[in-house]
Amino acid sequence: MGNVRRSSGEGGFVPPGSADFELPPIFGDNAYTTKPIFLVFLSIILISLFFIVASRRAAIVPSKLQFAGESIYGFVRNDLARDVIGHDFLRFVPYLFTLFTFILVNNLFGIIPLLQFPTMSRVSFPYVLAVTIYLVFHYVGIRKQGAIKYFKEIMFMPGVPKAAYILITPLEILTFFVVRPATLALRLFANMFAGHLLLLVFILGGEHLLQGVIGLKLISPFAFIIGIALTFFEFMVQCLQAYIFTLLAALYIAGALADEH
Amino acid sequence: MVKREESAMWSIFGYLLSGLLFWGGIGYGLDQWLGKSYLTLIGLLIGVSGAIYLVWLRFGRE
Repeated sequence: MGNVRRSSGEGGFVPPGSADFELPPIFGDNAYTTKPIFLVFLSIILISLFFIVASRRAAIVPSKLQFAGESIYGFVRNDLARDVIGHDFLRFVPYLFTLFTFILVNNLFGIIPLLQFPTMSRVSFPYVLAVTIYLVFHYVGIRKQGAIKYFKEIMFMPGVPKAAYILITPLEILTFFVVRPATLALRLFANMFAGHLLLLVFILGGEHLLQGVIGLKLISPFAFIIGIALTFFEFMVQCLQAYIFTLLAALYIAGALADEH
Repeated sequence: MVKREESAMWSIFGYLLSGLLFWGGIGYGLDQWLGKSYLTLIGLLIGVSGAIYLVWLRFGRE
């Protein structure tokens, strides 16, 4: 959108780096009008439209669109929610379904021509998603078991000698309240960041080789071929990361609901 | 089952990370305070042992 990234500057090749993720505002100086923000809104519009159209005129013999929509819904409902959370899973399906489709579409933006920016490579988006999961699983845990019992279960595992609690209780607290949500967000962020950077390296590198002497021009197709292969690889990573994020969210909810962790 | 392994893997990773961060952090703090240099290492080792013990409690006992 607007500015085109060029592979060469005044001092030759400009390697891709974290500066490539800091996109300028589109309208004036308003920092809320950057590309990732628009991509988030676009994703919401696309997802809503897709599922509204797919579920309208639902028939017993489904159309292709309805079938596609129902497959995605069925996947989240059965493979993620039901298998992981067990009974009482139904009330978490809307949340998990939103999470999965939202992350999936925003990740796929990374390889869709012209958009080509994975929203989740800006770290604040995964952070916010992790915060929602954090609130949800602690809330359901406290509601289900009561605050005291819930925190006691986290901190003091039964069947352990008392002296060992000094060693492991801090670790349990740190894991539950800091490390889990943080790694959840950072895993998604880092995968999207690294993937986008990798594509930039090969495609910008290929473009730069094209500007070189004839020998370098002949090499440049290989860089583009690797770039295309990596695009397919990225597609896989993007789907996998959306899946893992939702799976772990479901597992944390299941852990909070279970009587014993 | 794939999901079980996936979840176990990330739990173990989380525990090891917490162990290193917490006890390593305490060791580092003591080093700064007392002007020593070996307490960070001891803290890291205690953290890893605690984390491995915790992993064994969670996944090894069944």
